[in-house]
Amino acid sequence: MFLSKEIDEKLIEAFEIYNQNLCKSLPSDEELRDIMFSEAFEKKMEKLIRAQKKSYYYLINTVGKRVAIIVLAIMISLTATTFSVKAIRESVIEFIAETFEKFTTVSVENDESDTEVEFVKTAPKYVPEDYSVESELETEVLYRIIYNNIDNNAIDYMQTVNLGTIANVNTESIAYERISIYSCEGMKYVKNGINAVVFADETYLYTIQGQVSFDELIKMAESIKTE
Amino acid sequence: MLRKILAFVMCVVMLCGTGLVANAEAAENQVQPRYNYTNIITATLANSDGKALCAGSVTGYNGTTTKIAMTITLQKKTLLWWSDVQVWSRTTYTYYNDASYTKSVESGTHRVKVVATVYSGSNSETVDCISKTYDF
Repeated sequence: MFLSKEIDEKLIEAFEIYNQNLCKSLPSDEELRDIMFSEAFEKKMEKLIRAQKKSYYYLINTVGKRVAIIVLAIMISLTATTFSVKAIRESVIEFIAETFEKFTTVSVENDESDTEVEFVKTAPKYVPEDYSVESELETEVLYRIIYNNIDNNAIDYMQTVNLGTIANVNTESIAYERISIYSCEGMKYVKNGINAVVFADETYLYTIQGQVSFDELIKMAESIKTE
Repeated sequence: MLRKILAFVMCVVMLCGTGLVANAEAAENQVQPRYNYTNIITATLANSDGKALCAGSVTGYNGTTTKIAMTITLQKKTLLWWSDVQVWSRTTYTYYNDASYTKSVESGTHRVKVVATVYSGSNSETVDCISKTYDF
C-alpha cells in the first residue's frame, strides 16, 4: 500500500534506524568465534552449500518442486510404458475377448490399423451336405450368407473387417472355448441351442453359427482360408 | 506451504483425472441389458478415401428374432464428450440387420455407436456396441 511519498520516506528512515539498533544488539564477531556448531549442523550446511552450486538447484529447492518432478517422472514413465506395450501388442495380430457379465467383447489388434479398408468378400468353400445358399447380403465392410436345408435349419455366415470393429457376442450364462482356425485365434460357444464359431485373421472377423455340429462349423471356417 | 499443498493437489488431480477418463470410456462398453434375442452386435469405423465408413450389424436368432431396429451414430470427441455428427436408421423384419454408410468428416477423433432394439414378437430388448476410435 502506498500512502504518500513523504510518509514512505519516513517509513524507510524508521526502518533503517530499527535495523541499525537491531544490528547493535547482535553479538560481535569476537563473541561468535567461540561458538561451536554441532557436527550434524556442519554437515547439513556443507550439503546445502554444495547443492546451491548446482545449476538445477532452483528446480529442486522446495518439497513442492521435488514432488512435482517425481510425479512428472512417474507419469512420463507410465506413458512410455503404455506406448511400448501398445507397440508390442500391435506388432502381431491379437484376438482379444473380454468377458463381461452379459456378453463377450471381441476385437482384433494389428499393426495395420491405420490403413484404409478394402473389403474382399470370401465365401466358405465347404458347406455341410443338404445346405444351400438362401440369401446373400453385402455392404462395404460386411458379407453375409444364409444357408438353409430342407428342414429349414439355417447356417449364418458373416465376414466383416476387423479394422476398427468391436463385436459384442452374447455369452451370458455360458462358457466359451478358445480355438484355433488355421492358426488364427477364435472362440466357440453354444447359446440358445445354436452353435457358433467366431475367429479373426489379419483382415477380417468371421462368425459362423447354426444348428449343426461344431465339427461342421469348423470345417466351414477352415475352408475360408485363401492362398 | 500453500504452494506445496497446491502442487501436491494438482498432481493428485492430474493422476486421478487420467484414470477417470480411462475408466469412463471402458465402463461405457460394459453397461448392457440382457441379451435374449441378440447373438452378435458389431460396430465398425474405418477410413474410406478420407471419409468415415460407419457400419453396424446385428444378428439375432433364426426363428426367435423377428424385427431389428438399428441406429448407427457417428460421433466426434469434443474434449471429454462425444457429440453426434450423423445418425442413420434401418429396420429389418428378420433376424439380422446390416448397414454401412460413408460421411465426410472434419479432423478429430471419431467413433461409431450402434444401438438396436431387437424384437421377438411383442417383446424387445435394446443393445448397443461402440467401435474403436479413429483419428481423421
